[in-house]
Amino acid sequence: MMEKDKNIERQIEDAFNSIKGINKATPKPYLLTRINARLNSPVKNNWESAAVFTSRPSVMALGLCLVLAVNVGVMLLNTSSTNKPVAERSATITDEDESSATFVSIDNIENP
Amino acid sequence: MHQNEEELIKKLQQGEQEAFKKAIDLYQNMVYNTIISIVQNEADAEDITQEVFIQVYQSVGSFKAHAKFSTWLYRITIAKSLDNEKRKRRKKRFGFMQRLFGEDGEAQYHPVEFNHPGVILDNKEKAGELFKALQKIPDNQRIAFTLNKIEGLNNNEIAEVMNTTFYAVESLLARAKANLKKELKTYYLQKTSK
Repeated sequence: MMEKDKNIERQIEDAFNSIKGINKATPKPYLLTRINARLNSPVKNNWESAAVFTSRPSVMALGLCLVLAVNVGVMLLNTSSTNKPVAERSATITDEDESSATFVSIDNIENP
Repeated sequence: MHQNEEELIKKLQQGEQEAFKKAIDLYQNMVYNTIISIVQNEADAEDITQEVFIQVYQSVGSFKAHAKFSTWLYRITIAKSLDNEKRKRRKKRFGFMQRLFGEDGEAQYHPVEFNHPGVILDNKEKAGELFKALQKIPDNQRIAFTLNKIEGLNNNEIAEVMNTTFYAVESLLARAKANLKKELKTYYLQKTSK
C-alpha cells in the first residue's frame, strides 16, 4: 500500500515536472494574411444571420413541432367544449349576448 | 510603459497597417501559446488568435495606457478563450439534437488527448495527463496556473492580467496545484486498478 502511494506521488510529481521549460507554441505562418482576409470578408447583416439561423434543420423541426403542438392544443380545447351537454352550452349564453345579437332575415339581405 | 510600445500603440490607433503587422509579429506567439494551453485544440487556437487580433485592430482606439499593452492583450486572449469554452460546452449539451438534425454535428469537440506542441517528446504523455486534469479545475485557477507555468508570468503580472491582488493569485495557484494533485491522484488510482 505504501509502495503504491509512493508510486502515485512520483507520477504526480512527474506530471508537474513535464511542463518545466515548455517551449512556446507558434501559430501557422501567414497569420497576418489570414487576419486581413477575415477583416475584409463581407459582414453578414442581421437579416442574413436570421435567415441562416431559421433555415437550420433543427430550428425548422422545432418550429414544425411547435405549430403541431398549437394545433393539437386548439383541437383538444374545441372537442372538450363541444362535448358539453347542450343545456350547459346554452346556459353560458347571457342576457347581454341575447340583446346584442342581431338577426339577419332574408328581407334584410334583399332590402337593406 | 516602454517607449517603443507607446509608439506602436499610437501608430495602431492611427490605423497604420505596418504597426498592425509589427504587433502581430511581436505578440502572436504569446497570444497563440496562451490560447492553445486553455482551449487545448490547435484549430480552435488558430481561429481564436485571429479573433484576438481582429478585436485589437477594432478596439485599440479605446485602449488607455493605464495598463501595459501585453496585459490588455492577455485579457482579450483569456476572455476569447473562455468564450470558446462556454460555446463548446453549450454545443456539447445540444450535441445529440445536432447529430439528429444538423449537418455539422460531427467532430465538434476536441479529442480527449491533447499534446502541447511545446512539450518535448519524452514528456508528452505526462504533460497530456496534466492538461487533461487542468480541464477539470475551476477557470480562474486554470488561468492563473497557465499564465504562471506555461507563459512564465510572475504573481504580480498575473494579478494585473486577472485584475486581482498578489495574494489572491498566490491562493489561486495553491488551490490549482492542490486540485490538480487530487485529479491526477484519482486518474492514477483508476489507471493502476485496471
